[in-house]
Amino acid sequence: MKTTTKRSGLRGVKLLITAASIAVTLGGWAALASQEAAQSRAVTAAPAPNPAPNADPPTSSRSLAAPCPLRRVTALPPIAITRSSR
Amino acid sequence: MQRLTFRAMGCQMLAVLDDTSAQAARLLAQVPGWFEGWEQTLSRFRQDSELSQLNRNAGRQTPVSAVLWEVVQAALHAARQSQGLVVPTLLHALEAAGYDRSFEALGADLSRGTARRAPTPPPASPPPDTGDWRAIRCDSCTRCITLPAGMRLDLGGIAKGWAADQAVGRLSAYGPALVDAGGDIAISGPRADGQPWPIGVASPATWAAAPPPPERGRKGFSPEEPSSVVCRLSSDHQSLLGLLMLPRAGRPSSCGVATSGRDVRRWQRNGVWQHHILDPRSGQPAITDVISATVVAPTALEAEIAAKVALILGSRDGLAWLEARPPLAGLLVLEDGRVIPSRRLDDVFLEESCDICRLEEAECHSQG
Repeated sequence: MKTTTKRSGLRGVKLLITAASIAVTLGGWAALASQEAAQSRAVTAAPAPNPAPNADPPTSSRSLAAPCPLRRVTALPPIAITRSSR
Repeated sequence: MQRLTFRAMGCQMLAVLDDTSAQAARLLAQVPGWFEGWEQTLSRFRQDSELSQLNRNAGRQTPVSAVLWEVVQAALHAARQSQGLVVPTLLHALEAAGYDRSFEALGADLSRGTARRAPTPPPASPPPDTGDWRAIRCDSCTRCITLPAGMRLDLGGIAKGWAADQAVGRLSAYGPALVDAGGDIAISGPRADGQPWPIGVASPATWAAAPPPPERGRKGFSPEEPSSVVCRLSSDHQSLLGLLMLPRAGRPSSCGVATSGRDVRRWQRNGVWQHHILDPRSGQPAITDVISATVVAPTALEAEIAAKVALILGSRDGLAWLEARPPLAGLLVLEDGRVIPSRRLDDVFLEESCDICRLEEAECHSQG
């Protein structure tokens, strides 16, 4: 009888430890996910300088732009534009 | 931040002062007057300009103003620096090619490349006279210039780059400044908050309609060398290639950027396309695979010179010329739509998204 009680107690402790580990892991993932979301919001909300009067007007494609897979994407409006003389 | 736009030297100008004071506003309001004064001195299209007087006095020693002296010296510096590829002695050749009036006078249809008539009768003469810039005599003691008989100068792009540098130098006494003289942009240093200025690089305006130049003598990248290609433009591309963040990080000093292109200021002559960037070696519009070249340099004047050299040399030699000069970084757009940066452009250039470039993802390549 004593042996059975000890085994049951040990099993209970093991279950408790497993449950605690799972809870910590899930909590960590949730924290990481919320941190990444916050960083993403910070990038899109970064203040940009006012566009110059002669700058090209913003286009719908600019706001909907999908990122180039191999380069950084920027939403900064240019203050001036270099182009061939016209 | 205060801004002012105006037209001068046949181009759209922009002056920006990163200061909100009334004193800064008053200074900014003076900028169009500065440009008007410089244009009156340096324009080849105004018969009463000092430059036109100097041209009429060719063969005789002529005392000149400090401004004309300085810009002629800048033009001779450009000729030396470019090994004779950017010279001020091409006025006869420009007129022979049909560029004998300002583009404002010729009409907007010419600048868009849609004209169907030649601006002047075709030449029935031998190859145009390109002049020898080394024969120009300058006496710094008396500030006199002597042009060889028959020579006439055109200070064009050199004058615009010089004017942008001059104007930004004056404005910078009151705060961080930027002056855009028709695409030649001078920057005094970082903005008031310490951040760089975002400068857009326009894609060539009408490159899709640009005619393929003759094959002879052209040197360029072959399709087998895609490693340095950033992206390929589609035929309806009318947006920005990306942004230059200037000045470069860790270099809180003045700088300049300029674009030289054959996508505008071009016209047809007897069914043959002409453009305003002449190759002094032939006296004819440059035969090149480059549609436009954008260069970052310590000043707008140096950027103007380097952009023209890169365009005239073509993509392969032009890129090598830029790479061999550490202060310079550049971006070349080729007639087949490829966009090729020099190595040192990486730390200042932010490419716009593929969507803006109207690219398919498969067409996007990383820099090698």
